[in-house]
Amino acid sequence: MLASAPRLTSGPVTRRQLVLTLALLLLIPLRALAHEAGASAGAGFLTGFMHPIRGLDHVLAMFAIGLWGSQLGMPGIWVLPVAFPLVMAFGGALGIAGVPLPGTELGIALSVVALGSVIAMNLRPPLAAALALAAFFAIFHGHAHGMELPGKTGAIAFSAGFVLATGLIHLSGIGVGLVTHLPRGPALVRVGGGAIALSGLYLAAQLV
Amino acid sequence: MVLLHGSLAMGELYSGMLQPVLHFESLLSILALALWAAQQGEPLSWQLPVAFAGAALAAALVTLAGVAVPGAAHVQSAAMLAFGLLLAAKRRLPLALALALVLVAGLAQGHVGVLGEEAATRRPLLYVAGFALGLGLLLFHVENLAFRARAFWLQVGMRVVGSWIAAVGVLVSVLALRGGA
Repeated sequence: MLASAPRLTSGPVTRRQLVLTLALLLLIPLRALAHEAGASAGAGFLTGFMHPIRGLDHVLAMFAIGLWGSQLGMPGIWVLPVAFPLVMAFGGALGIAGVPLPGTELGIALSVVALGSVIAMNLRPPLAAALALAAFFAIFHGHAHGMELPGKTGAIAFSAGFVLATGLIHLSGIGVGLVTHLPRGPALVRVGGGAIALSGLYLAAQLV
Repeated sequence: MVLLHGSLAMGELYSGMLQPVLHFESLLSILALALWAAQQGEPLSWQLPVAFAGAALAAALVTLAGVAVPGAAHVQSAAMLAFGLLLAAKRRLPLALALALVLVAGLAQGHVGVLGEEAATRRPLLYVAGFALGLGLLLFHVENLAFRARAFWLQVGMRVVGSWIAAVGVLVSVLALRGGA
């Protein structure tokens, strides 16, 4: 299992150095914007960052995407989380543009059920099918966020915070999903998927 | 922050240097451009950044002369989306198309870069010089890191960054269209 895992270090720049540099790069505009444009831009980033985290249904679905990726292994482990924020942004664009999408809230609850179920059943569809499933639900999630997005003020800071938070939830799903490499890990991941699916059922039941 | 207010010598130069770093729009497009260029290997890896910085410098000078182009900010958002997508897809473009894209993005970058209030200094040329220097340093720094990041996960990480930047580009473009229309 671990034999297929790629090497993590090589070259003169270590991973730690790169991560540190990127993290510092990200911090610069935050500090600067907070000073420069007053409260609005800094608040925009925080609002955007908190947006995906606020709703448990969103968090469960995005966490499940990462968890499923880990369960699928290469290349799903990174292709799914790369595709989801992008498709979600297009869904968000639909929402911002005011294009109606019926049953958004129910679609989101059902996405939690569906994603939790495929993990619990350890389904391994072809990558294209997995992508299609993730993309289908990403549209609902993005649309729901898009309807609630603020106006033009701090649009860039808001969007950056929004996408960053979404990606970080995927990452935490992937990270937790790495237990699949432990002796009883695969079973644990499936139990986790089952728990997510049950939560989704509960959320859906409240909507009906 | 003191330097931003131009109260020290070299203030204009330094605030010009900071401009590309201090704005999400600039920083994200430049980050995506530099990583994408690094993916392409020689010679695009240096041709694209040089074209970008050159176009930005030219546009900055023309803008100082009083030429105003409405909608340049939209072009910048679109460039963020385009470079993010290309980086995420690790897509190689024909040389002419890649150069055209980078030149347009550079022109928008340069134009927007000197429109901000930071550029309204007593020594605008010094500001533009710093702006070009900052652009060059940022492009070089990111590409240098990207070139050394050969490990598989780092390569994947760059593509992830690309998809995130593209997602930001989508949201910003649509928000701008709604808010600005």
